[in-house]
Amino acid sequence: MKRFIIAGVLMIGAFGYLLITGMKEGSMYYLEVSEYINAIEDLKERKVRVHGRVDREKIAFEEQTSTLLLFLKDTKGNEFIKVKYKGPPPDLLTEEGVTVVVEGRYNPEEDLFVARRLLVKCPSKYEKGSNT
Amino acid sequence: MIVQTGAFLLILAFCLTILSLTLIPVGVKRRDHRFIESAYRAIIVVFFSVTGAALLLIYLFLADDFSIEYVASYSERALPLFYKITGLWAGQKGSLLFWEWLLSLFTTTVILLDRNRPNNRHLPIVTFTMGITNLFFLFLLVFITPPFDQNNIIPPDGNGLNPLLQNPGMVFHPPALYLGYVGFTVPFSYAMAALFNREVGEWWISRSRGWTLFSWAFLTLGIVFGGWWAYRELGWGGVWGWDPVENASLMPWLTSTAFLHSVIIQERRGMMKIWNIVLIITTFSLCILGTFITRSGIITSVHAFGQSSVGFVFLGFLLVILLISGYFITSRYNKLKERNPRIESLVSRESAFLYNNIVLFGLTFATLWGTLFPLIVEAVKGVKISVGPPYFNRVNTPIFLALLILMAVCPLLAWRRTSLRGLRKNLLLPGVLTLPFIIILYFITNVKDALPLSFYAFCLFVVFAIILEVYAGVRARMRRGLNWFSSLWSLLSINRRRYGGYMVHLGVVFVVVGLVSYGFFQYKDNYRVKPGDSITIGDYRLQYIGLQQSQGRNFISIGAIVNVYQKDRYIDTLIPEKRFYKRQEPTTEVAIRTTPVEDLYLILSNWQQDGTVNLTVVINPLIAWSWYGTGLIVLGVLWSGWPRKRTEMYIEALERELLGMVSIRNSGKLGRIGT
Repeated sequence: MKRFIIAGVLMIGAFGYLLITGMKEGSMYYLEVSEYINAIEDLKERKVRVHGRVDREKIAFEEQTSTLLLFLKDTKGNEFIKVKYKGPPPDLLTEEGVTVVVEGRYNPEEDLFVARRLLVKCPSKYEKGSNT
Repeated sequence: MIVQTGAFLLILAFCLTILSLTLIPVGVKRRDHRFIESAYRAIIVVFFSVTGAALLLIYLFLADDFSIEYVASYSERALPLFYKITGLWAGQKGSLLFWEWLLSLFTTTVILLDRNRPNNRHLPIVTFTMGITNLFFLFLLVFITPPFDQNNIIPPDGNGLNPLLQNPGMVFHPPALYLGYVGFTVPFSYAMAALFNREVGEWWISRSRGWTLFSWAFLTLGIVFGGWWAYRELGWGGVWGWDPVENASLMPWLTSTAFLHSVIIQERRGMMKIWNIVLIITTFSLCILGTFITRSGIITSVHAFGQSSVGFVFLGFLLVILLISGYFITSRYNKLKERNPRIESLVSRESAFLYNNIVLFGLTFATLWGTLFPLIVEAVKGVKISVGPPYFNRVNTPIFLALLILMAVCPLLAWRRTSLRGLRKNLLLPGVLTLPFIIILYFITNVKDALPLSFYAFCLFVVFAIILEVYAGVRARMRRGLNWFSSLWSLLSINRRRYGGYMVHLGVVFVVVGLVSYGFFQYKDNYRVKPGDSITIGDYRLQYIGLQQSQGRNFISIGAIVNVYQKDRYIDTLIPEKRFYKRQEPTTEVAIRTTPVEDLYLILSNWQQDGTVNLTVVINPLIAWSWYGTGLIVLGVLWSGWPRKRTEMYIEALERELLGMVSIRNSGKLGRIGT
């Protein structure tokens, strides 16, 4: 019986360790643009997910380096952040009413948000693609 | 007229289910079989009504009747016939109708199969449990999501089916998943009958075993079809993203896999009675939870299904299931505790199954935690967070490795007690055979990290262990004068459950090799090329020729023509496309060249007037092995579940008896007879 308990404790310990380190690595704040701007002091360079609307007039795609520059607006439209993403613009980026989610961190040197992942979410009814 | 008939058939089915649910308790209480027989017949009529309703909905799709809101939302005149038929499960309302159709089909099948068996005193309770589930779905179809609702203004043409769903993978993914989800209602109902009648022995497991295997196989297929579809259709080069909706289908798979294993201990040794009941309840509940997650839109997911109140009805149903099952388990606790032998040793087949269960449960918990954590945090602290793939990869990858290790070692352990010396002997040969391959892998390829190396090593170990065991069995039979083929055949047939299980294990090995190779060694990069330019990646040279425009049945496509050379020899032409469907957003159609060694996967990102394009090139090594492996898994389930001849059952009974005799003397040496 004693050995079962030791084995159990070991297993639970290992499991807990994995869970905690996993949460550290994989969970991040999911914020709206304005929430993000308000919290930027506390967040500093932590990895976060920010969602908002794309400013359709101000999308720039640098062909040579394949870098996408865009402005992510708040739903109310009065605050925005500048986002840099390395990769081609996804299919539905300029579609009306889409929400864009960027995952990455703030880079103070360039004063912009460097996105590692960029997802487009659609308002319409069924399953939509993502672009990582 | 047709519309009214459809709605009427559903109401009829609803009423008949209520009737049946009233007749059963009366019949059981009065011990009057006539009531119960009528209840069965009512359920059979329910099946025919629901079938009628489903056929009518398909007919309305074929007739392009856009006065029906559901048809107008998911079809259009130009939609190919095939997708019109499968329009039945393109959206939520139709999916629920399809689900209820399967459920009523299964309920009827259970009744027809069991009604004339001599020992069918549990059937009324099984039917009652399934009837309640039927009632729930019919309630949804009649009151919450009526599929036959009409539009006020009839549109000239429908909205069309989302182009992403116009793909064979997506056509088979939902039905396969539903077959799995719905199928688990059957073992769950048998478990409920066992609890209700206070007969918690093995009978409910063996009686529902076929259903369990069936559901498990389809759940597996459904998940794989989903990954396959995402891979071919979503254009991101991957098969799995740890999205809440994907997790929702994985969790019942994990618990049902645990169930498949732990019932073996109960059948063999009478242990784990409570655990098995808990597992099947958990599996069934997770199926319902999955539907809640997908349908309520409560968790942020890239799969944005229509958000509706249906999700919360599912949550209510889930609570009902948990409350009732919880009540039955506590009130039958003493019965469940009776004659529950203890596990004797930490190193034995029983404890191995136990570890397997713990690990699978851990995986389920970790997945559930990651899926629901954002919800909990938002409720408690009011902040939104998101748990991404890094969490799941970090936590689940090592646990999956542990599972693989168990899969390698456990079949080598004996029942009851394994001497460490015997275990060492059993482990030695497969280990020795694996070692050189791992050394070669380490020095010759770029597999240097411990994690992928361990995955490959234990995969090989599983394969060698199985080969060695089969080889020993075949050789023993050949000594008795059989040739190798009939030896192999008779060995595999004599204990189908065991060897079917091994086939499934081999299939899992293939899947793991595919996923590990894709997960750890994927190549992905973006390129910008002008017509005539070439890209060189390893052996490949990709020459971009130019753009082409073509017209499909209900879309226009722009494609980039790419000639593929390998070691300067022309091998293929790939045309990744962008498709423009009427009234829909453009979609990416990737081009894939699949070989057993690797997939070359091209995505056309965008293009310019002068023909310059942005191409994303993905190379996924060995990913096709996952698809082959799935085939093997299904084959193994078929082998294991195929109805057996009486002689085989006799042999199995004999083996069990022998084991019982051995247990008296408590020697572990004969422990390894059968599984």
